[in-house]
Amino acid sequence: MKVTRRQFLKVTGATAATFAVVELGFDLNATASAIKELRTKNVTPVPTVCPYCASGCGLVVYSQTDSSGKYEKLLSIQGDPDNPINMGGACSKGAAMFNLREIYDPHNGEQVVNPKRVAKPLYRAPGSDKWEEKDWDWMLDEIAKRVKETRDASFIHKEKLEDGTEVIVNRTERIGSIGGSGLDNEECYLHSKLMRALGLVYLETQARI
Amino acid sequence: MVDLKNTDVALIMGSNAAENHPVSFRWLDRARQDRGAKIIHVDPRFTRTSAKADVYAPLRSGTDIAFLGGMIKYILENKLYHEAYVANYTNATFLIKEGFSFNDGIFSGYDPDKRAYDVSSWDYETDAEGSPVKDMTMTHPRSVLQLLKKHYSRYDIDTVCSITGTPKNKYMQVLETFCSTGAQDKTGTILYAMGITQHTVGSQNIRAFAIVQLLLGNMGRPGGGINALRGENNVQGATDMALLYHIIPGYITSPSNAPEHKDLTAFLTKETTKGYRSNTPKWVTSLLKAWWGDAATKNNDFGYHYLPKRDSKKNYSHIAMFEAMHKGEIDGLFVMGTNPVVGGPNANKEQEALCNLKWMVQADLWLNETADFWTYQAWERAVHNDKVDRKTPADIGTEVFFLPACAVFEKEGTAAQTGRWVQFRWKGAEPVGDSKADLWIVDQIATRVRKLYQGSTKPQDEPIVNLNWDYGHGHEPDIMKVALELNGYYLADNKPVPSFAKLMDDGTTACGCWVYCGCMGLTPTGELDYKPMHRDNKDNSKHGLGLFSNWAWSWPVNRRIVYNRCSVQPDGITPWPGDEKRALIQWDATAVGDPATGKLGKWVGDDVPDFNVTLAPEEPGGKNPFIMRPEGVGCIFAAKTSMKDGPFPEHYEPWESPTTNKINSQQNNPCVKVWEPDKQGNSKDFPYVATTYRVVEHWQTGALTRNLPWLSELMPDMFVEISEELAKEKNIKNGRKVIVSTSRGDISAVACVTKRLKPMNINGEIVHMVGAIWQFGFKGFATGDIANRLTPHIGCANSMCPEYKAFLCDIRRA
Repeated sequence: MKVTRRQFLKVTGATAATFAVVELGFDLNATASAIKELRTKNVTPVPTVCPYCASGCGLVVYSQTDSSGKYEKLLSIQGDPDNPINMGGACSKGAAMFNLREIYDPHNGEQVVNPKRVAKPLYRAPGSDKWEEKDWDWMLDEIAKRVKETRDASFIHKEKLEDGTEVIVNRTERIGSIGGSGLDNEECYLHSKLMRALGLVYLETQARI
Repeated sequence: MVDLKNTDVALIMGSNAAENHPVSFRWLDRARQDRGAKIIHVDPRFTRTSAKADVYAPLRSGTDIAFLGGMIKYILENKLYHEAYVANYTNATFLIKEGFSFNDGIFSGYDPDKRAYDVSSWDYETDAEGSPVKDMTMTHPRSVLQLLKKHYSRYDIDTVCSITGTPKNKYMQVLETFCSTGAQDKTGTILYAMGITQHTVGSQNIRAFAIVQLLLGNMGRPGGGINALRGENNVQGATDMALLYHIIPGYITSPSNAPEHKDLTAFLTKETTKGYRSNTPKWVTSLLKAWWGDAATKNNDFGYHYLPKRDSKKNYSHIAMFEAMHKGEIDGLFVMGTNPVVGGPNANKEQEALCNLKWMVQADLWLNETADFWTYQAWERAVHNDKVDRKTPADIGTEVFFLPACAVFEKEGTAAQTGRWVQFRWKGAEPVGDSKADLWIVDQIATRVRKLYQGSTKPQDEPIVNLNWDYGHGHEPDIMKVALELNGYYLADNKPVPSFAKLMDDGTTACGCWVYCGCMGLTPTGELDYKPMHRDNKDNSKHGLGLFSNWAWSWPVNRRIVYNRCSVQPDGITPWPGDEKRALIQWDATAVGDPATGKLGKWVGDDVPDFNVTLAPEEPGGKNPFIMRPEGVGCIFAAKTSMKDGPFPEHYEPWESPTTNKINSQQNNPCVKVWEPDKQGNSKDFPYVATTYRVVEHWQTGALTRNLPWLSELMPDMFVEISEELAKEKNIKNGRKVIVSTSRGDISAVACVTKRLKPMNINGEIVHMVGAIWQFGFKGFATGDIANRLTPHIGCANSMCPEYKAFLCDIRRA
């Protein structure tokens, strides 16, 4: 029998006082013994840090792996008891991190990938009212072309200064970049390096706002 | 974060820490249990933080400087300041040269046409050698302490409370409780968030905190400090890496076309200041070597000209970027995990601006409101308003490339938390579908753009052609190669540079971000040792201060509490009386300081000294704890170019305010840039003070929470809060729909009629407040109107942080 979280809450809420077998339709004792073994037992937790606020709470990810060690699906994400900042605790957001990847289907209770996650690159043409799926190679090559076109058409190589001397300024003001505060350090670093090499000066992150 | 447990009094101001940074209360509660600490909350709204506080005081949004100015006056008048600390560790003793003045809201040097100051009079009096002249008694009328006293003499309790609307008895309670930490054996901490920064005086709000904390002797000591509770998990790291127009990695000013930046020598002359920043040439040269490798040589200024030089007269910050985009001055935009259609100020305008782009590249986990800005749904509005643009997809020519990014635990990398601990996150699940790590995305874009420029001999293409970009040849970029570059390496053997003190300005070291130098070491067997991966959670401090120095790594050089020279007395040996357990470092005259020469004397202790480790307290500079400042001491007076709008914080009303400025005749900050003069709402049309905030169940624009069923179920709908009194006046029922309007747009939301908001008495008039959650939008499982359609395009005079937190609105039944 599959019970969604919503149904389970409804049932247990209604019968919390008695927990009678007749009302639930199944024997809780049998269920309890069946789940005595936590599904995270013998699974190595993988430490991570919360992606929400900047407090830096640690969490651990338990995933089911196949015989080759490849991750298959999530089992649980919970507070990291070893992390000295939160010592195993998690707020409502941290405790819901499981949903960033997987959810329980509201219709049948099956554990599935969160349908809101985007699994393929998407392209929206000028004036279009829909997204089209594209492959990575096409997307990245088109993006590279747009970057070069815009950069080359707008690039300011040299400028005359107030004191009359000419100086190399190597910038474009027609490309901008925003974001990055949700990225890892290594990602931010590479992005900062690339954008500046392209000559961007409109470069901003969420710290400003 | 853990250090909060060491405090005696915590002042939480402009933050709902219990809700938005819940783990902070684990440690504040610990301080309360173990040390009897008191918690104060100052905020326009009674929140979950107020409920957990010992003292709660309301204030009108946008009046923090009045509130804190009164506190400064109270400290000085009642001599509650930590005198030895103030005399030795701050510039209170310095004399300011003649010519500095302040009159009715304006400091000396103001040019009303430029809306800017000539700051030359905001300077120290110096002796023949150029050193600041001091009066250790702090009685000279031009000493900083006396000028401070004079400046805040106008901020008496009655005036303050008439501006802020704070009940006098509550205000007194805050003053008495927090100022008790001026005692030598007490420390107090300040926690703040966007309630402080998102104002036209945001930076000066922080300056007011700095003055209070320096007076009370609360900086550089356990349980002290000014703690920004940052909102995004790696906003600290993104700032360190300089994803901001005005800096390059490591907080170095970005080059501009000003004559003083015209070549490397000129740039280094301008940007290298006294104190620890005297090492700037080493940081800049090493950065250029990291970016342009062999192409960066002494003969070409190490490739200095490859860095873009911005126009020194232009502002390129978030608001400026969207204003330019709105005018059609920007063609292409990268959007890396952010959502300005919900989170940007004046969101209607920012959404319109996106329509003027030729192309937009966005990397995210979800199709958020920014990704879908061109859809029919994105242009639906709560009410018809002629002034607000409505479009259809056919009107919008922007090409959009959406790149699916994977989640935090589907990749590996580090993040810097709000206390600068850099922690590693391992990969614990596979990316969903074809989604990819941003590291891979950026690497791919770089590689493909570089391919298009391959073989170009044009000089303007050199920054790309010569770019040092090699992060391995596997399918994924090698993160350890990125980390090594971030840390810095010797060009000769590719070994990590152990600390930024060892970086060189002769091109023999490369380093991507000097503040991260030291995060990479070598194991005894010679393997790379990335210290953010360290997981030894034993607290190494003698008195259980919770430094956890072997857990992860913190910048700079794994120092946990900055300015820690302040935790001992000037002699470097004696702890502050009664505070022996909170001394972080001490001078040990008998220890060998320099093994090469055998010279005796070094700083030792639980934390990494924030000081030259062999500089004795009696030597010149040996008592100067603020090594990043040219003065070597904390700045009560912000000299010269430190601040654009004054050396002392002064109260100005928010750009949209229900009242006139009672403390001077300048209504608004005289240095703010006004982008949209025609959009300034007045209190006749928009009589209520509006502010925005967050809830624990959602995060920022909601992209990472409103797409999750569990959190959507917990907090399913957009609401605005109003007091029972305003509800009665406007005949609004709890739970019913209302329309909130400003001069920029309208939203519809569920009314939450609550006792948490109270009308305020502002100089004899009743002022009502409206509070709106800004985390909703039209995408995800839980949807609602976008509160930022109401907020203005105006920012802080120094930082350009938008004034989201205080503006005027009207409210009516839907």
